[in-house]
This record gives sequence, C-alpha cells and structure tokens, in this order.
Amino acid sequence: MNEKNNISDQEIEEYLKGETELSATYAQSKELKAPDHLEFSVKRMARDAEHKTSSQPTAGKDVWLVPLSIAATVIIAISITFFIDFNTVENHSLIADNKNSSTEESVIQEVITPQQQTADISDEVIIAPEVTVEPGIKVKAQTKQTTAISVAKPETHKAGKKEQLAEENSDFELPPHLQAIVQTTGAGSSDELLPAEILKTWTRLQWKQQIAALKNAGKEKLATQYIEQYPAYYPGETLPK
Amino acid sequence: MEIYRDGDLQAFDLLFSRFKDILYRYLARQTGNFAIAEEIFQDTWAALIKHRKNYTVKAKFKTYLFHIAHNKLIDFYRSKQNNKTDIVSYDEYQEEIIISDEPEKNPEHQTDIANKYEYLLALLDKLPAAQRDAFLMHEEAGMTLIEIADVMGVSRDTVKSRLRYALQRLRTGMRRLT
Repeated sequence: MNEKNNISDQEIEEYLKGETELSATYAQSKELKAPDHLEFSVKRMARDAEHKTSSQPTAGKDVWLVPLSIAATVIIAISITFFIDFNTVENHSLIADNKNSSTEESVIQEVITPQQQTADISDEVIIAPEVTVEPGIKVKAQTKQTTAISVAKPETHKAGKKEQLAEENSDFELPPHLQAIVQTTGAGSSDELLPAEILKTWTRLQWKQQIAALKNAGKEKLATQYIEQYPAYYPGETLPK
Repeated sequence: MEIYRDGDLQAFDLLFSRFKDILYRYLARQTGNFAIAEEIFQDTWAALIKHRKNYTVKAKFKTYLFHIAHNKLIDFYRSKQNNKTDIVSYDEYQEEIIISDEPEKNPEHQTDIANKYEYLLALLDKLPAAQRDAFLMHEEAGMTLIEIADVMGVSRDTVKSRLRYALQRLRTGMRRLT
C-alpha cells in the first residue's frame, strides 16, 4: 500500500480548513487543561520579574539619577575652584592698588616668556618659605600662585600690557615688604657682583629684588652691572634700567 | 504582548489565560509525558517573561509563543539524544510508522480504547515528532502552513510534506479502527 499517494493537495487544503473528520475527532481531546499549579507558578514568575525590574535603578527615569548626580558634583567643584581663584586675583589687585606701587607680580608675568612659565611655577614654590617672615608676605605668597595660574591667559592680552608695563618699570621701586625680604636674605648688602655660582641659582624675582635693593641703597652702578649680567643667565631677556 | 512588555501584568494574565491550555496540550501530546510537558511549559513562559522587553511585533503572539515552545522541545529532544535514550530524533519523520498493517492481529488494542479520540491520540503518539508537531500546531493553535513553517524554521513545502505524512498515517490507523 502506498500511503504517500492517498492524501492529495486538495485534501490537505480541506484539512487545513478544519473540514475533516480527523479534526472533529481530535477536538474531543481538548478537555485537557493546564494544571492550576502551573498557572500559579507562571503568574508568580511574571510578578517576580516585574517586581525586580521596577526595583532596579535602571528602570525608567531613575537611570539618570547616578550620572546626573556625578555631573552636578563635578560642575559645582569646578565652579568653586574657579571662584576661589578669581577672588584671589581680585584681592591681590585691591591690595596692590592700596599700596600704590607697581605690582611686582605683573612685572614677572610680563617679562617672562611663555616657554619659561613652567620653570617659574616651581620658582614660586622655592620662594614661598622666604615670605613667611612678615604679615604682608602672606598676600605675596597668594599672588605668586595667581601669577602661576594667570600665565595661561592668551598671549594677545599679555602683548598689549607689556608695552604699558615697560613704561611703568622705568621708575621701578621695591615695595617696602620686599625690601624687608631683601634685607633679611642679605641681598644688596655686597658692593660687588656676587659669584656666578650664586647668580646662576637665582630666580628672576631674586634678580629683581637684588637690583631694586641696590637702587634703593643708591648703588646705581652696581645695579646696572646686575642688569647687564641678567641676559647671561636668562638669554633673550632684559631688565629695565 | 506589547502592553505586557510595557509592564502591565493584567495583560500577561490575559495572554496566559488565552494560551495556557493550548500550549499545555500541544506539549503534552508532543512529549507524551505530562511531567516533561509541565517542565517545558514553565520554561516556555519563563523565557517569554525574561525576554519580554525585547519583544517586537513581527507575527501573531501565538506564533511567537509556539516558537519559544518549539525551541524548548528541540532542546528536550537533543538532551534525550545526548543521554542516549531510545527517543527518536526530531527530524526522523521518514521512518516506518509503528502501526500494524493487519489490525486483526492486534484486537486487544482496539477493545482497550473505548473512544475514537483516544485511539487517535495513541496513533498520534506513534508519529515521528516533526509530523506530530505540524499536526498539533494546526489542531491546537489553528496555525497555517506558513505560520508552522515560521515556527519550525523550515519551508512551507516541508511543513506540507510532514502534514501529508501525518494525515496519511492517522487516517489509515483510524480506518482500521472502524
């Protein structure tokens, strides 16, 4: 018996329409139902899964809470940092105006070249211990940091100010609090140029302190010698006479 | 299903109520073992619950549900093969049907089965799995050839061929009963 030829395509189509005795017979077996315990366990699975999803922080809008908090914290921290720096600069300006003297920090900033800015930052760290002697020095220590930070300003801003400061420096005098530093460290007390071994260790500020102290003491000739020596230690730079 | 995907559990209850018996019968008839059917039944719904967020409307829900169930069944058959049991491969549908060509040699079998549909179920149980699968998907879920082909991952003609073999054997067996 060849069973393969018994069922034609038409019979299959009729079967698919549900018009056969076979389908009617099978329909009698549909009294079988899913047990209740299966219904209970599956519905519990569904509820557990939904509960887990809703309790996770990644659900819904909660997903943004953590990154938003981190971003807000970072922004606030940066804002506070810049606000403090800005206030430091403002305070320094007020103090400098009150003393009615040329700002030494401005001179430093304008004379140095951008390539030497990194070295100057470390110079400030060395000088800082010297300035703990007098009350006015504390202000100075703050302004050193300000100078180090302000070197990041655009070059165009500095270029215009260089010319202005060049004129101001023509009658440059050491402020009283710096004179005290110079005296404390012994700068300007000698009538001759110090040895090169010492001079090559000097920072720009120390050069200016020495020259100012000499001028203040009426040792114009010696001060001029220091000014002439300065380019030998800082090539390409000059100090106003 | 889309409503359930968005977190509405009442939608799930509705889906479950509508398809639980259909799916259970399909699995029970296909495996011939209620314990295994219950296990696959739970696995199927668990997979649907687990992947509900990834659900996209590509076909009818019943096609999606039976696709999952079918894959679970395939896994079941493979695990049985790996365990070297005597259950035949799912795709071995060309094998000889285990129904005697001489019904008079098997009279006690006929007398034990009081109802036609029980006899039909006995015949169904003797069919190769792939043929039985096609028959059950149509009978239980009312699926078309294309829908069954989609679930099984085969062509429409292959499903038609499997269905043809299944109908031949079932009809032959039922004729012997009468």
